[in-house]
Amino acid sequence: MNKRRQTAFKFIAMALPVVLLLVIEAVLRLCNYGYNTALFVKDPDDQTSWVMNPDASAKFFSNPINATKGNHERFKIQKEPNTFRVFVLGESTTAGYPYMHNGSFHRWLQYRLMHTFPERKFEIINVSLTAVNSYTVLDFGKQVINFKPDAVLVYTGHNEYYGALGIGSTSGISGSRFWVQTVLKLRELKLVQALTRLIYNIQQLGNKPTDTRENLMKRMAATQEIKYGSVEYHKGIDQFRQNMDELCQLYSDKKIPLLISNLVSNEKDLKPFISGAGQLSANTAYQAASNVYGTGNYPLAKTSFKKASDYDLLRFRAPGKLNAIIEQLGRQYPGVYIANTRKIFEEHSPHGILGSETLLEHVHPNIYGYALMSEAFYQAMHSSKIIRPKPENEMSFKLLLKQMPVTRVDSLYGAYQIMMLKVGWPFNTPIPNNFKRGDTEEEKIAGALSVDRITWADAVDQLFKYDLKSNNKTGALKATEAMLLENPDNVNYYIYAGRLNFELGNKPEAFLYFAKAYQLQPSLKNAQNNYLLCLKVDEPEKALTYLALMRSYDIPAAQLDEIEAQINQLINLKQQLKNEPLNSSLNQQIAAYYHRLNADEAASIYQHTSDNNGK
Amino acid sequence: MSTLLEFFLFLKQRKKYWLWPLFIILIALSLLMVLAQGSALAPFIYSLF
Repeated sequence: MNKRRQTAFKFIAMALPVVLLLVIEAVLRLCNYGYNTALFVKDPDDQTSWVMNPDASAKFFSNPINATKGNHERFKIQKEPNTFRVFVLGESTTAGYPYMHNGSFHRWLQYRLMHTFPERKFEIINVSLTAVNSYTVLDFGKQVINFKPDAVLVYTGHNEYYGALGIGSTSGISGSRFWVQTVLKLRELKLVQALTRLIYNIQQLGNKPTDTRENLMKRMAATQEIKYGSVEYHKGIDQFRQNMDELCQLYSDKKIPLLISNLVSNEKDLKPFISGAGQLSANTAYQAASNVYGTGNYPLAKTSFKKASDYDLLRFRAPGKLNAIIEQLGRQYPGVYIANTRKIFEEHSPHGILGSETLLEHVHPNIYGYALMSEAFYQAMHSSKIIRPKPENEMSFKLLLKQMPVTRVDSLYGAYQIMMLKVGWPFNTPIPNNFKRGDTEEEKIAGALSVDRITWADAVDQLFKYDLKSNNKTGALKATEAMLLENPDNVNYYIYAGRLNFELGNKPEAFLYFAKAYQLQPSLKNAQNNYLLCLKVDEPEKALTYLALMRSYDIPAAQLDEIEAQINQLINLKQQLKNEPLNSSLNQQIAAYYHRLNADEAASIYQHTSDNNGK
Repeated sequence: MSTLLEFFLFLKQRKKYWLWPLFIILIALSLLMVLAQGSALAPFIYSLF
């Protein structure tokens, strides 16, 4: 073999491993091996929409089987005009644990925005997951940029230590952002996915039977303590700062508004999970705080409660330092705004100290807390001029609290979840001996939901049927609106909600839902619904608008002309009635027109007046 | 054809040029994946965060 040929062979041979690995990767991809790491996939039930990929989080977990799953909130591949698209990123609190669904802050926000801007379409897509931290938020944040967001909302920080790839959750590469990011990139390769599976299977061969949950928890307590001011403590803070910095820089450069909330956690009603001794004893700080609280020195008590939380060796609550970082990000990056959830929680807590009034346990808000969280984001969107509500249309926070379709089943379900959570480590609070689930329909449904015997949609359906059977239209309306928020593209829920509101005498709400139904599906049926509603509530001028829309459908023009003439007559008669309000003949004529137009409800108003005048 | 045969003979004799790098890449990847393994108890405490 000549030397030239030998050199060529050497180069080809050296390139061979790379070629071989590429071929294996290509074959695995062709065979659809492993999992897809994209954040969104086409919805199998609706090919015109994206939906969160159930495997999107798999790469953050060493064993993809353990990966947590997100919401199923679809949005259009082709963004429709007049649509305001918001993505929500974060952890379990951001996902609305333990209530999920309409308990989550993003649904409160969605409900409020829908009422404040009835003419606009809001797509609020929550891609938050339990057990993840800023690594996942950054990764998802990079991906949602490609899906035309008008704003992105973020609430993250409590999982920085024990969340996926956090400093307290991984062994070998924890604390090295470079290696964590390298691993995340590599896990996108099918070859690496196959290799990981192989390693897992080999490890399982030599494994003893798995420890019980309790033993695992004890082991965690023994090995995962992170002392205040320690190297690990600072690594967690640096990891959060760097990830959030990158996210903010990206959004600021792209000029997409990014709203980050500061963090809230239980201060006064949660003893530290694990305490050290000496100067950094969390228990001592907590005891001191409780004593000072008792004397009425609340500012000092607040400071001590914060210290107790910071000194807690089990870092399920974010250190106070993270809030300082979040506020700094808001000052540093144009287009990055702070949602001041902490301030709003403090304003709604006795003496400004956070506790069980707004939080269920260490970090997750109760239903009222989630409402407050939505208020913080709403205010931030408003003050940053991302939204510009007209004062006359704006749904107030008070009205939101009154109307939001969070059912009693939702709140009971949340309470049961927390009760079960607290039985285990690190709370170890047994279910009270005298606890007995009640026998009301809501309690039965919530009980079945808690043990996964039924789905949330089944629960709402059962509640709706029960309310209808017991003639509780307000309850039935709440259940309908709950389903509507869960399925914002399903026109039927808007029509039901419109009808129930009409029957309950809530005129503006009925108008809103019927108009929304037409907006979503501009059909003859929906135009007719709106037209008839206008007549039934004695607003014939508005009915003409929908009658005009009906002309674009297959209805004989003569028929519509006749109706239009009758409505115009009706309008004239109503004008005359203004000058002669006691004229019985006019009242009777108007009632007769309404009867002819199938608007008996409006007819009865004038019939009644005419009868009274005749007496 | 003879060149290809010659190349295969070369690969057979000089494994250090291609087989060893392949092993090294795979071992390095495996090692990294082992190092990146999460604590086995994380799934049990998801509801905490």
